[in-house]
Amino acid sequence: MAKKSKLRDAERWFFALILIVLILATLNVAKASGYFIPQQPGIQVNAGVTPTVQLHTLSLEQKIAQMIIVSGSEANLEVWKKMQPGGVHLFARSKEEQFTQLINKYQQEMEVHFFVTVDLEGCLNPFSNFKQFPAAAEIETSDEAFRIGTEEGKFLKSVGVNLNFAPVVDLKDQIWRCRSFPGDEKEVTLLADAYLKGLQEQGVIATAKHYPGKTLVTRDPHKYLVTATIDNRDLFPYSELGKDVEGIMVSHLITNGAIDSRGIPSVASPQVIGTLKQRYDGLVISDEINMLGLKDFYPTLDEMYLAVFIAGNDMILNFNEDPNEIYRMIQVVKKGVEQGDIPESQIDASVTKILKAKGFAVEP
Amino acid sequence: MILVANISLVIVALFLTLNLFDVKIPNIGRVLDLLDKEEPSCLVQWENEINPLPDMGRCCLGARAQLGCHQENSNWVCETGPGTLRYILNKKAYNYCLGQVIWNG
Repeated sequence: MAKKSKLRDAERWFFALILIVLILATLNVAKASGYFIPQQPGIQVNAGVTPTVQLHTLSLEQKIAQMIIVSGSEANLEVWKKMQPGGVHLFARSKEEQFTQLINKYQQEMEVHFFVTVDLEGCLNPFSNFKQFPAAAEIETSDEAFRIGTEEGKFLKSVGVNLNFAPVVDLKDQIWRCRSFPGDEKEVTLLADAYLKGLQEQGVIATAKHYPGKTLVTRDPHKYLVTATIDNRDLFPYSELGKDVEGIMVSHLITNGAIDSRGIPSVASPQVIGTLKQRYDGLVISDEINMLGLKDFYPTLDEMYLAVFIAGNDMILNFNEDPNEIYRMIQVVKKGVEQGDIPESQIDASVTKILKAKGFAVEP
Repeated sequence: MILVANISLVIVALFLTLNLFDVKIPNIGRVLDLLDKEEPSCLVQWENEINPLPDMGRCCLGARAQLGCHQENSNWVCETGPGTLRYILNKKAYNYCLGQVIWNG
């Protein structure tokens, strides 16, 4: 009798535990897909010849979100639309239609559209399964560079991409051997300028990278934090292209010489970005922030998040696939602004640049 | 028998609760990765030239950006299409990349 009762108790526990596990599993799936992240209200756009956004109508969270570019995976489509980051970055897909369909889904019903970004550098090409372009290393004349920039721009626009993380203006590529233009700093600048003009004439924003240079050189495999000495030749492309190129991407290198990052990664250095912004008023974009060169420098992710915002980047690349972590990043930065670590005027200036680059007029 | 099932369910429930509250538990893959003493190796191939890419963060991002990865002999090759770069990772490097937030979240 007592044995039967124990068995019945165990059975009851079994069914109760099954129920608990099912509930917990559902909660875990809901959390992973960003279900608990609150929906941001749509950004109000006043129609007109040039659509206008009034900055004061954006919440602090909305402004910070506009400064982030996330990985534009299909799985996170709905949660990104809910959170409204400034951009989505696309990795390779096998067919053109997969790009266009995904981009259309992203842009549908968005008052302020996403930047849709890729790394199209010829030999680095997310479309290469169905469309090829020459590598930068193979381009020899500015006519050719302009033609290729135009072709890439037309193609990107037709697909729906509006921001390309190219051209590379590092003077030497010792690793990939195909990403830099051939020649010295003057030749590289000439080719990069022609390429980006071709690209931008088609309505696609170009990004010169990786400021301040020497990013594509061989490193000690046992060191993630590496110091490079920057000279004026490395900076030459940026001083010449600054008037034309709409974006500059900053690397994680610790630098000394002509640009001194004062012992911290360039992308988190107020000195490096502050100096760049004195001469350049386009978009300053961080390299992807989950790379070890940056991540290992900070004891916590929160400190890293704050550092890249405090430094003055206008847009931050965070390709973490977990939307909850991106949401947490926004909250950390929001708290940083509220506590006075980051001036809200700095956030406003970056968001104004972003919205203008997206084609909006911006009023306070 | 039912006792074993109940204990298993309690353990599953515990893991699910910890995961829900962002308590990170090293999974079997990570433990195996830590126990694997082989040095991670990442190579990039452009046409016939192959060079080492010692920066594992950049390697993982580059490999992740490709259309897919497949096994060739004992290595993993990540590529998209003709005329573009290939990333060649040994098992240690590939497993390391799979564990990164940019890859599987």
